This record gives sequence, structure tokens and C-alpha cells, in this order.
Amino acid sequence: MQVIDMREAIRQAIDEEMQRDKTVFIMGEEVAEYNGAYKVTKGLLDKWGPMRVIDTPISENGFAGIGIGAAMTGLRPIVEFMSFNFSLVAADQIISNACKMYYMSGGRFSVPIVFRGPNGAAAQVSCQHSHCVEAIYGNLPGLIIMAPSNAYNAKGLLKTAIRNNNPVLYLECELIYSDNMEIPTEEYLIPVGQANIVQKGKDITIVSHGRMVKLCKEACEKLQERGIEAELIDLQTVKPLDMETITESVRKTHFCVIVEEGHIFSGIAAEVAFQIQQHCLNDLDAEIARVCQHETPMPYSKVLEKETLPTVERILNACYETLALN
Amino acid sequence: MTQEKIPEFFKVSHQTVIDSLGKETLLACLDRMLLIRNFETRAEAAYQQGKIGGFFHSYVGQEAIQTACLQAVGHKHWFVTTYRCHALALLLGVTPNEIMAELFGKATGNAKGRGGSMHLYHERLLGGFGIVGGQIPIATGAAFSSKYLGKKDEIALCFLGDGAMPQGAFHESLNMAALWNIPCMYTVENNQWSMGTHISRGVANHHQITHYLAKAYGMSHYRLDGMDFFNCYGGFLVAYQEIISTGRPVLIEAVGERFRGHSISDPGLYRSKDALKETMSRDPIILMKNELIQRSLLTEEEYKAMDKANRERVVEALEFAENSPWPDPSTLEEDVFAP
Amino acid sequence: MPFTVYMPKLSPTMTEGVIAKWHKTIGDFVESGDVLLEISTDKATVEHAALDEGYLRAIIGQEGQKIDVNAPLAVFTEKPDESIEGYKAMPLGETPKAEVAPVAAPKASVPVVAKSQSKVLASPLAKKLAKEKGLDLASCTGSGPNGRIMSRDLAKAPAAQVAAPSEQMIVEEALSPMRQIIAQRLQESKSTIPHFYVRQEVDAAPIVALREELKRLEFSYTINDFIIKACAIALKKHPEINSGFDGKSLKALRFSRVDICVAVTVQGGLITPIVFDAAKKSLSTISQEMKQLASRAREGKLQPQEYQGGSFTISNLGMYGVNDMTAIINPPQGAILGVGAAQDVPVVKDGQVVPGKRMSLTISCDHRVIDGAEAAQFMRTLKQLIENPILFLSE
Repeated sequence: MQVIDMREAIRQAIDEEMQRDKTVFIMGEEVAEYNGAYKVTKGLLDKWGPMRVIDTPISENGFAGIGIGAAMTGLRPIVEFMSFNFSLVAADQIISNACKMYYMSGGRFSVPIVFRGPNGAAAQVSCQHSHCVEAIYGNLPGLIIMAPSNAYNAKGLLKTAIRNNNPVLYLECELIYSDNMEIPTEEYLIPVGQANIVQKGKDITIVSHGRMVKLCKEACEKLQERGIEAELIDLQTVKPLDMETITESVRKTHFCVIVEEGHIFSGIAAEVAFQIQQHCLNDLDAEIARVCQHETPMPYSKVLEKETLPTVERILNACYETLALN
Repeated sequence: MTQEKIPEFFKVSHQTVIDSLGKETLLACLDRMLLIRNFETRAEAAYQQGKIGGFFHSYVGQEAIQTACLQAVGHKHWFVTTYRCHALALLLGVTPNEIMAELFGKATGNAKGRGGSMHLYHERLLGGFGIVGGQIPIATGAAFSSKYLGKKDEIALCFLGDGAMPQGAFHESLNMAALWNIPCMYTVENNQWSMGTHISRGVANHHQITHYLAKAYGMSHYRLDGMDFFNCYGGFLVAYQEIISTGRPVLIEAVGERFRGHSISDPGLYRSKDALKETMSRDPIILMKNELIQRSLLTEEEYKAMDKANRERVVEALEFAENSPWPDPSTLEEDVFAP
Repeated sequence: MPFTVYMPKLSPTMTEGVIAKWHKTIGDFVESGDVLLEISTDKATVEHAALDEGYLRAIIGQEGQKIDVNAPLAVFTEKPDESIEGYKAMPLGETPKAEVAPVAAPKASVPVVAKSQSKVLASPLAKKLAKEKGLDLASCTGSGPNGRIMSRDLAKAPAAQVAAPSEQMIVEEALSPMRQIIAQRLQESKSTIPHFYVRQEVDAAPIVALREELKRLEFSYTINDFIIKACAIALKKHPEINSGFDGKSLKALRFSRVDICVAVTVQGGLITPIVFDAAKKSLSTISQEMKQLASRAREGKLQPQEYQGGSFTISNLGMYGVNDMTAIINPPQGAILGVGAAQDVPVVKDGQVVPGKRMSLTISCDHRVIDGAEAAQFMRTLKQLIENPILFLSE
């Protein structure tokens, strides 16, 4: 076993996969000589050289497209977006090319590419640098979307993503890169579309992904003090959803709160909630609640940023309301 | 404002080309151009009968460019082009049957009816792309692969229209190709019109832009006469040899014309009848035919027979497409993901 | 081979075009690429060129004419003198519409939950559990928002009064003609006639024993036959009971003959066939008649004169085992006798309590024509006759 942070877990996954398969390479802004804007790719240039660890100019559309062209012609690129906000500049490549190619070519060309980078809010980075993109890209068929939440699933999910023959969006989070965890040194993979039950409970189901899982854990501790045993589910893969795990839980607990960092309208919670009621309507003892980012661009001020994002308190209130407790 | 100087075409002697290719190869090239011409013309007629839907971008008038290019470089490379992609597919060997069936949306089509006119493929053809300029980074990535995997004689060829030059993706690609020594041949097929906007209204300094862009990014530049098969062949051959020997990307501009509108729904009202007539007087097929006849490599009757044979191939393709089955609706959701 | 040129689809939305101008005339040789005609769409007027060369032999659409897309415009031949006689220029076959997999009709919307508990707020789970366990949601107190009942509230719920609280349904049913008449007459009777009742218990042992004896001798009689005979004799003796009343004229009606109506239960109601002149008939005659009348009554074969009329009615519910029966007078008659079952009861005889057989008789009388004393006397006579059936022999 080893105790490492999430950043290191991601780095190990990349490194091990580059070792395993010569067609795997990584490119993005500052990934090589700078050792990564968030130091995720530290040391990789020294180890693998500039042919496989490539600094790109600021040309997201261009280098995302280069990655896709390379993926179509025998390579397995990892393309880093310094943050997923910048992926929007490459949206045409991701949406018109990456996720369409296999279907559009009648099954001729697959695109085994991973787009990875930090997603969502950081510390006061304001309106243009705080996007959660899972719901935006999630609407389009042909993409796999993963959201690691700790060092363990970060490593297992990324390895799976790199070995998958389809385009994967791998959504990290700057604010949890430094979270430590004990994980195995032996290789392990976490399959696509498998959620994790972080803790079992019988009273209420909480569904979340990414950084929010951490907040939900805190909320669960507070619930426990009140004698409420929550079952916390970490999606791990946002698309495709592991509805089996979720519905089994809701059938047991009869109450559900969904927590996401992204915006409320048409977010991931909306999709999960719809699918829960579709399968479990008569098992629900109350409406499904969701705790999401409010309907505003991300404000700069510390106080406003806190107000717009989910908090432990908001999660707890949602739970109490759902359970109709004071 | 000083008058823009129009750069000269790449200098190539027709005789040299004729001598190096020989009668058989030359006739084969003319034959391919006639196949493209007949295919585009008859497919367009089928569109007007409601058999083909959506967008249809005809390559008529531009046949010399890609025919000459493929003759010069061969097939063992990666090819990427725009939505005006029927010709490239035919040149790489995709059968008229398969393409026509795709245009008709049938299950026997090139992409099983999933792509349509703008999205044709071959084991060496990465598409047919719908978003202007979106294909340029893809081609760059394919060339990147060739280099990465150490395939010394393999390059990528990217065809784009003059209308794509303003797209950011074009400049991003040229920049990275030049920075990283990516063996990509970028060919701007300048048919002078972005839909209804003449290039003079879309591209600053349009006569010289490719020359200076190439210079700015530190790569070689070639300007070819897109209506002249021989000129194109000579230029592409030299450019290709340069890429192979230097590993550097190259920017080519083939100046030509399209005879039809931008697409089938474009009535081309931005060109006067006389202007179009003049344009069409330099039909690349007729020019090549005349040159070959002049050099006693071809007779009028042989030409007519060649044209007729290609017409029949296309009529056969129309029948094949007509008689092919529709895709089974139950297969709709298959192949969204690769296994 | 002649071939046809069709109206082209010049834009994805075009459905028809107008022929603006023909550029060729019949007999012309048209080269591939020559402008053949100009076509006007709603967007523009465009020149349309010939695809294949040939001789123009027939023009189908005239200038100014509107032609559908894929409809014929002109006929060509490859040779100038080829005959086009008998050649029909047909519109181009429609592109077969992609066989759209028949879209399954949208599922009928979930039937609205029965409104019996419509005002009760309950979670889907609570509703489901309540239904399964037969619990009455209406009597639960909800701890959820706005008093919504949650599954945890069901633990305190009383079971529904009925096994499964089913919905009260009131279905209106039209009466059969027979029932309509019964309804009308009895409503009138009960609401207008001042009824009074005299009840008398009689010792039924003698007629029960007599009946048994006759049965042994292979004569089949019902208890009711004896009652009819006894009433006939009693009514002869008490003509004031064999009377009726006319509610309109307010006159008493004195019947000369004893015609006894006997209530018979039939399909869909009740009918009262009449034993006419019962006082003059023997027990056996009465019995035989009753058998026939009852049988024909049940078959619906009675004629009106057989059940309309009568001076007195007997309604016997003894076969159902009930104690007694208090009947409603059958106007214009003045009285009706209700009969209960002959039952084993303890009786006092010679100071001892012994088993006896008693039967309860209740006479309902119209007090406008009959007094209590008269009724009582009649009942005493009746009792004597029933308890001493040997007296039948002398009447």
C-alpha cells in the first residue's frame, strides 16, 4: 500500500499506461517543461522525452483536433486541458469529431482519446474559470464522462479511460488534488459505469460525484449524530450512469438527495432524479431533492462563491426536508 | 492601396510530365477525372429527383487538383478533406456503388447510411468533414501519428477550401505543424468562392496570403493552376518529395474554379452568366483531353468511349443504390461506442 | 428508347416549379449541358441544363404552367426519327418513404388514481403500502410537508372498517314493471292506511301432526294450506274482517265471498294468486289449487283475473324460519295475515315447562273499517280453528 495524493495517483496512472503501451502519449499546455500547471505531469518529460510528453501552444481547438487525428490513426493520446473551461474552445473538435467519428464512419474509425484536466470551481477564479462541463457534454451521445473523487478511484478510472477505445472526458478537480489516501501499489482498474457505495445506510440515499462527495461525507457524519444512517453513493462515472446501484439503494431507503457542483438547470441531478423516479416511483416516500450550484455565473467574491455552491449545511437541510424532520 | 501582385504559378513543363507519366497513366488519370465528373453530375440529378437529401457539394470543375495529387503521392498516406469529398473517395478506390448508396442513405452505403454526402471514408480516408476548418487539426494529428510511429514514407494530406483560411484551426495547425516538424501537406483548393462570398471579401490580401502565411510559419509554398492537370501533378510531386526529405510541412494553393454553386441549393446568382461561361471554358477535362489529342495520345472517339463507359458505371451505381435496402431501424443505436 | 426529363428538385424544400421559358423547341438536338428551360421557384428563376443529349420530341409542360417536382416535362429520343407513339411519360416513382418503424403509440397515460382518497396527501410509497395492507389513509395523520402521509405514519393507522376500503358505488337501477306496481301500491298503502296489528301465537303441533299423518297416507299438504282453510272459515264467521275500505269514497266495502290472496315469491318480485270462494272449498281443493297457482305464478303464466282482486291476503314467511311477519295491507282489502315459522319453544303445560310448537300469526288491519276488538275476536276464532283442525270437517 502507499499513501499518496490524488495528483500523484493521476500521474502514476499516466506513467504506468505510458510504460505499458508505446502509443500512449500526453500533450497539453505546460505539461512538459513546466511539469504541469498543477504538477500532475511532474517528471514525465524527463522520463519519456519530448516525443511523448508534448507542450502545446495555446491552441485548444488545434491540439484537441491533432489528438483526435492521432487517435484515429493508431495512437492513444491523453490531451490535457489546463482546465475544462478551455475545452469549450475545442468544443467543435470534441462534439463534431471525437464523439461522432465511430458512428459517423459506420464503425470504421474509433477515437481512443482521453481529455483530462481540472473541472469546476477553484478558489475564487470567477465567472470564466469555474465551469462544470459534465452536463454540457453529457447531453451528447458518444462520450464517456468520468469524475474521480479520491486517489483510489482517480488511478483506477484513468487507467480504464486510457485503455478504452472511445473518447473519455476525465474531470479532475483542483481543490482535491492534494487529498491523501492509502491506495494499493498493485495494479487495479475501476470499470466504466460503476458507482461506489462510500458508506452503507438505511435511512436516506445521497448521490454525488467529484469534489462534492467529500462534502457529502461530512454531511453523513452530521446525520449520523442525529441517528440518521445515510447511504452515500459516488457515481465515479457520470455517463453512463450506474442506475442499478442507485435504484437498489433508493428501494431500500425510500429517500434521495442528489448533490452536484454544476448548475441546477438541466444538470446531472436532473437526469439521475428522472431515472430514479422512472424506476422507483412507488418506493419514494418523498420528492427527490437536489443540491446544486445556483443559477448565476460564478462570482468572484469569497462570500458570494460560497453562497452559490453546495455546502454541508445545504446538503443537511435538503436531507432534513426530504425526511420531513426539523 | 498598391495593387496586389498575383504570384506566379509553379513552373512545370507539360512535356516533362507527359514523358514521365506515359500514355497509359495519363489516360488512366483522364478516366478518373471523367468518373468524378459523371458521378457528380448524375448524383446531382438524382438529388433533384429527391433520392438524395441534405447537403450536396459538387467537385465539378476541380477534378484536376485531387486527381493529379493522388497520382503524385500515391495512396499510402492519410487523407483528410472537406464536405466536398466524393472525388477523393473515388480516387482512393471507394466504388461508385458504395458512395451512391451512402448518398441515398442505404444500408450498403460507405458509412452504412450514417454519414451521407459530407462523410465518406476509406481505410486511408479519415473523412469528409462538415465543419469548415475542423478537419485541419485532424490531418495534422494523422501526420503526427506517421512521424510518431516512424513511418518515413507516410505523410498526411489535408485539403481545405479558400473559405477555411480565416478559421483559427487553420493557423493553429500550421503553427504546430511548423513547430513540431509534422509531415503534413496542406492544400488550399482555392475555387475563389466561400458560398456566395468572393475570396476578395473574406481573406485579406487574398492573392498573396498563402505565400506569406507559409513564409510566416517557415514552410514552403507552392501555387498551382488548379485547372491544369499537368501543372498540378508537377507541383504536387515536388512538394511531396520535399516533405519526405525534410520532414517539414508544406502549404499549397491550387487556384481553380468550381462550376456549380457552393452546394446544390446554391443557385450561384453571384456570378454572371458570362463570367461563368468564361470560367467553364477552362474545363480541366477538356483542357487535358485537347492536350492529349494534340500529342496523339488520344482520339475524340476514344474520349467519347471513355466518357460513356464512366457514365455507365455511374448509371449502374444509381441502380445499385436504388435497389439497396434501407438500414434496419432497429440498428439505430448500434456503434455509438467502439467495443 | 425514348426518355423523359422531369421537373427537378432545385432545393430541399421545393415541391413544384413554374416553367418560365423553354430554350429548345421540338425537333432540336440538345447536347448534354445545354440549357433546356428556365424554371421559377419561390426563391429564384434558374436555368436547367439537359443531363443527357437527345432529340426533343415532346414538350409536356407549357410556359407558365406549374409542375410538381418529378413530374414529366419533356420527352427525348436518341435518334431523330424514333417513334414515341405509345410511350407514356409517367411521373418519377416517389422515393419510398423510409419505413419508419411504427412509433409505438404513447402509453396510455397512467390512469388517474381513484379519487376516493383524492384529498389525502400521501407519498407514493405510503399509498402503495396502505393499499397492500388494507390501511385507511384517510384516518392517518401525516408527518410530512402539508400533512402529507409518509410510510412511517402508517404504523399508527387503524385498519380500514371494511377489509379493503372499497369505493361506495351507487348504481341506479330501473324497476321492472312488476316491481313498479308493487312499489307504488305498497307505498300508497303504508302511507295512507291507518294500520294496527294484533299478534297471536298458536299451537302449531296439531296441524303439523295432521300434515305428517296425511303425508303418511300419501297426501301432500303444506302448512299454508291449513292456514288458508282456517282463515276461510274464520272470515265467514267474521265478515267484518272480510271487508275493505275505499279510500276515496270513504266507504267500507263488504265482500260477499271469501277470496283469499296468497303471496307467492316469484322471479323479480311477488304476486298474489287468489283462491276464490275459499270458504266453500275443501282443504284438498285449496291445496291442489294452491299448488297449481304457485307453479303457474312462478312461470309467469297467471292471468290478471287470477291475481287481481281478493278480499283478504295471507303472507307466509314461515318457510324462511322467521319468528313472525307483519305485512302491509293490500288495498282495497281491509286486512292481511302475516305468518311466521312453526318453531320449537318451551311452553307451560299443567304447571310444567314442556317442549311445544308455536307459530306466530300477525294480522294487520285497516282501522277505518276494522276495530281492535273485531280483530282480536277474529284471531281467537282463527286460533281455535288452527289448533283444532278437526273442525275443518264441519265447515
